[in-house]
Amino acid sequence: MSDERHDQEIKQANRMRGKKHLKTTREISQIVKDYYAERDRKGRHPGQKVAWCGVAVPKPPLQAMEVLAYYPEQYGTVVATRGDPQRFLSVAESYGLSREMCGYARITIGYILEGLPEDAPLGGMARPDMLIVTTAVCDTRVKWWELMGELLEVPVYILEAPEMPPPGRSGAVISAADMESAGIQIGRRDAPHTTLFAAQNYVGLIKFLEAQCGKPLDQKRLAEINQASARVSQIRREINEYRKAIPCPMGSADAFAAMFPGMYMPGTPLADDFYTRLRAEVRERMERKLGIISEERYRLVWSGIPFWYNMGLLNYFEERGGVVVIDTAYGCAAQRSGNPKREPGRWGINGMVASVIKAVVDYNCDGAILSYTPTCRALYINQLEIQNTLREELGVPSLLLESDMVDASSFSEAQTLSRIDAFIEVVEEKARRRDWTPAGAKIPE
Amino acid sequence: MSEVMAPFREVLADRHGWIRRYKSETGRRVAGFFCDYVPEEILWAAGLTPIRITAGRGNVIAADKHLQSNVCSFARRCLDQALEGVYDYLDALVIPHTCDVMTKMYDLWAYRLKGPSFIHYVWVPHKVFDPDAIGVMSGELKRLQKCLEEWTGTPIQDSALQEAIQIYDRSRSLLKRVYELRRTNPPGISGAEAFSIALSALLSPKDRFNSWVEAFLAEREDKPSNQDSRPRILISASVLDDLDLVRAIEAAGAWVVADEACTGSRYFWDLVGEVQGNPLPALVRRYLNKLPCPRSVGSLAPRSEHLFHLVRDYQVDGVIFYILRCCDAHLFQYPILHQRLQSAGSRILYLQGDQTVGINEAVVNRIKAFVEILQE
Repeated sequence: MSDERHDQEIKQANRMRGKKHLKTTREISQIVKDYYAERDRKGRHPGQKVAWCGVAVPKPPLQAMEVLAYYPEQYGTVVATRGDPQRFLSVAESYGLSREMCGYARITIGYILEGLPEDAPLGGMARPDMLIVTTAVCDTRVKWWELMGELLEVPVYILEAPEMPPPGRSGAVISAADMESAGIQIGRRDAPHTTLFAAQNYVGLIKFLEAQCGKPLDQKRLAEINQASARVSQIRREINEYRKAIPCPMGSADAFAAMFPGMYMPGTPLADDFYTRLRAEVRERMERKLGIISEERYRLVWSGIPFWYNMGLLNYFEERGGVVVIDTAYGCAAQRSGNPKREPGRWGINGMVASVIKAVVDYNCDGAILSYTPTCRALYINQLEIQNTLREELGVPSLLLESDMVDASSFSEAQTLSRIDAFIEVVEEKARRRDWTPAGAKIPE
Repeated sequence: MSEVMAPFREVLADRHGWIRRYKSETGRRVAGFFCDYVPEEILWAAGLTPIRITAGRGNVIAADKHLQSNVCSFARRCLDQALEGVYDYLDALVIPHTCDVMTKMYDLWAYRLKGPSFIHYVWVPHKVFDPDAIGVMSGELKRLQKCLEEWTGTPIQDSALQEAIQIYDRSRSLLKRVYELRRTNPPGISGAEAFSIALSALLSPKDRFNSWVEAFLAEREDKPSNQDSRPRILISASVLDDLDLVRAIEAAGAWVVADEACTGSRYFWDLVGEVQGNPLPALVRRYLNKLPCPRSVGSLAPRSEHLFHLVRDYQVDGVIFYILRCCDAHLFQYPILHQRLQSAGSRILYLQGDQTVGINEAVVNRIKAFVEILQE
């Protein structure tokens, strides 16, 4: 056995699988499997098209056009958790993509260069007829999608979403009703042309889909899906509202798993049914004061993408008296609740930083875990500023945990756990000496 | 060494000191800008002297508190210098949205630094060749103009913009003539001389720069080359704001005859052209249609075409890609460009760029080995 293979096996054995606490979230694994099994359906609907889309591409038009959508970023997590990511990462590296580049991108490019093999995890993604991505959040994806377009020789649509920084020099502005957890600001009042451009691009997306699918968009169907999708988002917000409760009825170990239907199939009856049942379960737990752990000594927020190959890290905190009660990367934030004793003077350099500060305040958190994937600039470029702002404005400690989101070879479990242990000591001490009163959850009617 | 090179040498020997002295002598306000998507003509017409923010080479200390090491060394160095007060002489700063890192540079500079008093963000579309991009770019340039007018208290007249465009286009044409001198084999001037001039264009007022280049060309144009024949190299770089790499290549026994860099040919290759009436549409067209940064959608074809044109017209033997670590836009296009150039017969060397270190011995050895291969 080669040393490399041996190391790989040790890493696989050490992999910490996440433990879910809720009944409903245990269904997710099957939902994801079924989603990928849909590739077999391709061809059953004459003319049905397949698109590979970036996360944050609006789903309702795709659903209304009956486009079978796959998400390369999501597929990157599938390969990371269910397969051997090195298989595709090494192909991408041989092609010329260096290790400092996005892990999700390298997996997908490797998968393409391997010829979309049938034996890829969950059967892989069906060959696309088109590629769609948005410029929101991450510029890198624009280049990644263009490269996929070159390699697959299919048309690419780039949906522009002009992200604007906060006006003035005081950083992010948070309103009482602010609900956008990711903190992305598309367009700005003093630059209406940017908002118009975003709208033109949305119209462009519809035209692109119509041309690729060879049929007009059914506006009535789109309106229905938009409505269904909005309802799903509302249910997800309510669930996140309940997570403010002490003890926390649903932590991030369950929440990260539960984001799949909301992220990738929001306007569907399946998503509606799933979140309706999840909401009932979380609400019941909250009303019975049933927490993730019996005695919640400290509460944490998670910023960034989790380490998909090691979701057990989230449970590790639970074994040591704490819960990761909220995560900020995947949207659907609850309404601002605030805490008069903890309002910061400034919210940080931008909305993405502010979204974490806000979560710390609204969810009564004592500390923050800031995951840090060196291959991802878009999501992680703010992490140090989140750390700075938490310290400056709230005196809240945070821990930067470095690892790649898909490449387990970058992860040192022993080192990570010893850093977490040291961090927990600091957070527990802080939590014991809280000089603020935790606010309760608002129960929607 | 030729006296006509003296002004460029002076600027590059102490780029910040030079502009500080210029500012105190002339009383003109100085505006910094990043990348090559900020229409400097508008700044010039507002009575400002635009200079490019550059990173140079050196350690990063202060910026490590704000940006992790997965951010390119260019951005980290620039922020580090700003935090250390190197850019305290700026009166204004304009930062375009060219990549996620530049957007963050704006966020950090606006929030963490007290100066300069005018700071502005220009959102530049990715789809620069899309017809709808004209509207959003026009809106952004008008917004820049309006904000500058409010800040200076003086309206920018069309005539001032037209004059600025003439001065800037003159610089671009002069720079092209300087680069033309390297088409011959052997080249009429060295790569270090040509790149000194190109870098000075970023760091000095264009009216003075133009007179320096005119004097240079008067002495060096139409003169037979007195250089020896060596392998001819093109540098394709993400950003290259000092002479170290060019000097290292030429010290290894080759000529740098062309570049594809935002601090070199991409900066000046395209003109605004003749303008009558409102100059803004012409500026919008120029900045959208210019030789693109790889961050732009659809940039692969024009970049590829430009590279092939340079390889052919400048009789290039080898291409050195100098891509800063973590510069995603360049890194994603590199494999295809590599493949295309190699298929067409070019020899290629890839160097990972890092502005926190100099061109060290390991890099020099790789360059020497590459030049030796080209000499075979």
